[in-house]
Amino acid sequence: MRRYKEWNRRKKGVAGIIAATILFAMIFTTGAAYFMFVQYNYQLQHEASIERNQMEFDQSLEQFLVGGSEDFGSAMLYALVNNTGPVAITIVQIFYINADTGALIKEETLASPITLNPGEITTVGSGISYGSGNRLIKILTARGNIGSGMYPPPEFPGITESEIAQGLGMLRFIFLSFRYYTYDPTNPYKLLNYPAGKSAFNSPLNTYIVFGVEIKNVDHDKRNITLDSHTMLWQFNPQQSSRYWWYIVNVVDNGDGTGTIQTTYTPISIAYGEVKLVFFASDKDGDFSGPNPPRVKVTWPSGQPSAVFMLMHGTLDTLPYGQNMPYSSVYWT
Amino acid sequence: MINRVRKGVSPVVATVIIITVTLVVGFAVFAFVNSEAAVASGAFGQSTASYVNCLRERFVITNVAFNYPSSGQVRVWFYNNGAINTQIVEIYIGNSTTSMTKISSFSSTPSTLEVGKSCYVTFTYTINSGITYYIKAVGEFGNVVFYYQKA
Repeated sequence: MRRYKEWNRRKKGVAGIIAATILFAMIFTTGAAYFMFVQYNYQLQHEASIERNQMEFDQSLEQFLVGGSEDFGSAMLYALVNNTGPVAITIVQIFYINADTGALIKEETLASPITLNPGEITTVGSGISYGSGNRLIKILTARGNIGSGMYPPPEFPGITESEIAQGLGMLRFIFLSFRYYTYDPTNPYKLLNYPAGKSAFNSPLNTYIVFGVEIKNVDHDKRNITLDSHTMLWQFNPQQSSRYWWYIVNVVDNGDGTGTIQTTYTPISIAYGEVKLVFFASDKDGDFSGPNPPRVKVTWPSGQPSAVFMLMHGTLDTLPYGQNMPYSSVYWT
Repeated sequence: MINRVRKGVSPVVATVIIITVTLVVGFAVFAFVNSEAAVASGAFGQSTASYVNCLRERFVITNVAFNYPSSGQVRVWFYNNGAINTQIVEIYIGNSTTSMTKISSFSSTPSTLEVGKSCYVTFTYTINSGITYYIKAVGEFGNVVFYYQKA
C-alpha cells in the first residue's frame, strides 16, 4: 500500500505535462502552418508586384518612331521603325490603315518578331501595295507599346511651311515622289505600272519615258495655283552639253495599273495644301496627238548624270505665276 | 475484502472519464481551430491567387476596325503583354464612357489570349461614321482596358 502510494506520488503531474505538451504541439502546428501559409502568400503577392512593376518600367523605357518607306520600283509601302529609346524593342505586329477612309488594309503578325537595338532603323513586315493616298501605320512591340506614323509624313504646319517655302516659291516638289513610267509597246499613249512608276533618280536610256512628280501648293496666302501647258521638265547633261525636255500632260487612270496620256492638255489646278501628281511626257507644248505622239527618249552615253529643272508656269489665282525647281538629278543607264 | 477492491474502482473510472472528456474536448477544440484555420487559409489563398493573377494579367487593345470584316461588324485586336494567359470575358461599346452597351455575343480568335500573342474579337454593332466609339474590355482576372476611336 505504501509502495502504491509512493508510485502514485511519483507519477502525479506527468500526464498533465504530457497532455499540455501534446496540446501545445497541436496548436503550435496549426498556428505555425497558418503563419507559414500567410507568409508564403504575402511572398507571392510581393513577387507578383515586383514583376508587374518591372514590366511597366521596361515598357516605359521604350521609345520609337514609326513611318513608311516606299519602294517605287515595286510600288510597295513598308513600315519603317526607328528605335530612339535606350532599350532594344521587338516588333510583333503591324497594322496598315487607309488614313483617308479609316479602313483597315492589312494586319500582319510577324512570324519572326524583329528586334531593333537602340538607334537602329529598319523596315519591318512584308508591306502593302501603294499608289497614292495617306496610310496610317501602327506598330506593336512585345512589351505592349503601340506606335503609329503616317505615310506620306505629315507636313509642317501651313504657316511655317509657307514661310520656309516663301523664298523658294509657292510650289514644293516632294522629292521621293520623283518617278518615271515606260510606255506599253503596243500603245504610244498608255503608261505601264501606273500610278506608282519607278524611282526616277536612276532612269533608263534609249527608252521612251514619262516623268511623274508630286507637287504641293504651299502658298502662304492659300491661293490656288494653275499650271498651264508651258510647264515643263528639262534635263541638262554637263558632259554632253545637251538637254532634253518633257512638257506637262494629263493622264487618265485606266484602273488596271495603266494610265493613258491625253492628246491635249487641260490646265491642272492645285489648291492650297493639296498634293498633285503631275506628268511630263511631250516634246511639244500642249500637244500629244497623232499616231506617233511626241514622246521623248534620252540617248546620252550610259553612266552620266543630268541636272533636273522643273519650270512651272501658270497662274496664282488670277496672277501670272512661274517657278523654277532645280533640286534633283538623274543618273542615266 | 470486497470493500477494499471497490475502493480502487472509483478513481480509475473517474480518471478514465476525465481523460476521455479531456480527449474529446481537446480534439473537438483542435478540429474547430483547424477547420477555421483551413477556411481562413483557403479564403486568403483564393484572395492571393486572384490578386496575383490580376497583377500578372496585362493586355492592350492594339487596333479597332469598324465595319470589318463586313459592314456592321467591329473587330478588336488584343495583345497579351502580361505574364499569364487570359481570356476576354466582357466587351462594352458606346459613344461615351458613361453610356456603354455590353456586347452579349462575341467570338474570340483564338479563344485564349496567350502571353506574347494576339487575338481578335469580332462582334456586331451598328457604326455611324464620324462618331467616336469607346470600347471597354474586361479580362478573365478582372483587368479593364479602355480604347476609343473615331469611326
